[in-house]
Amino acid sequence: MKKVIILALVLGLAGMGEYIFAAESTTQATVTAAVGSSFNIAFYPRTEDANDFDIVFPSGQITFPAIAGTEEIVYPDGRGVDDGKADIGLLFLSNSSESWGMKMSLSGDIPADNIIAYTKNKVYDRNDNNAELDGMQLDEGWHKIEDVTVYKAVEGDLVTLPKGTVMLLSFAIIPSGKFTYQEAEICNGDALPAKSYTSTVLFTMATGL
Amino acid sequence: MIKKIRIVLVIVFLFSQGRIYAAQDEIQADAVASVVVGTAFSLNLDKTSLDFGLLNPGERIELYSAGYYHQLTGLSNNKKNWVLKIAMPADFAGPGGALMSKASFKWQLFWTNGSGIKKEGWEGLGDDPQVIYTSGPADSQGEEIYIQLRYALDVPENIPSGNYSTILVYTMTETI
Repeated sequence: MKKVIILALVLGLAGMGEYIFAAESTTQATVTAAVGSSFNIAFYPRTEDANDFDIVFPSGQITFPAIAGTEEIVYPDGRGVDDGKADIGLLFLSNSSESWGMKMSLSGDIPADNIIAYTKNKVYDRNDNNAELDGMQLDEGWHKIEDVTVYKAVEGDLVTLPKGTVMLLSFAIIPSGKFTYQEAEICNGDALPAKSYTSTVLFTMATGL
Repeated sequence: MIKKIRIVLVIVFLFSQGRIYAAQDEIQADAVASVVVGTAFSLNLDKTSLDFGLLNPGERIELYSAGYYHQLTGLSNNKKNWVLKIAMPADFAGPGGALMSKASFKWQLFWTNGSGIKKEGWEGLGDDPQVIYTSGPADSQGEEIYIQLRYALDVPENIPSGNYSTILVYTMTETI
């Protein structure tokens, strides 16, 4: 009698198993995609951008008025002291995971002691309502245009797509070649001879700076 | 007296032969021919890779060069309904720990010869497996059911460059 009961229980469990566990079959695929690199620098604003920062020379072509030679500092056409504007904006677009930065250098007719650049100590994140970002390697103020790293993207802001990061810059001519800013000597060169001048400021965005 | 004994022996022998033949007749009458048909329940994918190639940030690409990209083949003879689901267990893994959300991935059921219920239009992926197809009554009679899929990828605009990969899992499950 005992044997019959045990056998019946075993059969019952086996029968239930058929209904509890439904058949299942699985297969899988590996999905891959390569995202291309975007790494470039442009003058801001581009045609599709709003001019959020009141840029005076969006094309990057800066013109100065005729200089008498007696001025300490000469601003470009359309600029005034503390007018809240900037001559140019630089837009950095990158999706590189590597550290990157920007260097600035000068070439052309104007001697290095006769032209200066003004930098702020922040750049602006256009992907985050123009929030301020650290990374400027120069203090806010006037600087001689030397072949130095101006900006290094900080960790967490390496990818600037889609709207980019903006840096504001302004320029001035120092006719005398001598200029002091906040008690620091910036320029100590010669006065500019009378003639027409053209120079190029080269901005280089690169990884590994 | 001696002759009588010999005759009896012969009769007994013949009688035994008769019993042998009778037993053979019984075996033939009881023989039953039987065939056990096994259960078939399987899912196969025509190729196990899905390569979107090189894309730019913000770009969308759709994969269906032959009308579709993948063909799944489901087979069941259990006479029970089944469902086919798709899942992506993890986001796309990229360089330096970068991730591309599975929400960037889209799929579409392009065609099936099945008689069941199919999802229409482009669909995304969530945390749970998504139903691609629910079988109809005729789909579990032992015929192969083909299900063709298209895929799309919407690359986020702010994604780091590099190679990304993940796994896509298809599961065919019989309903209880």
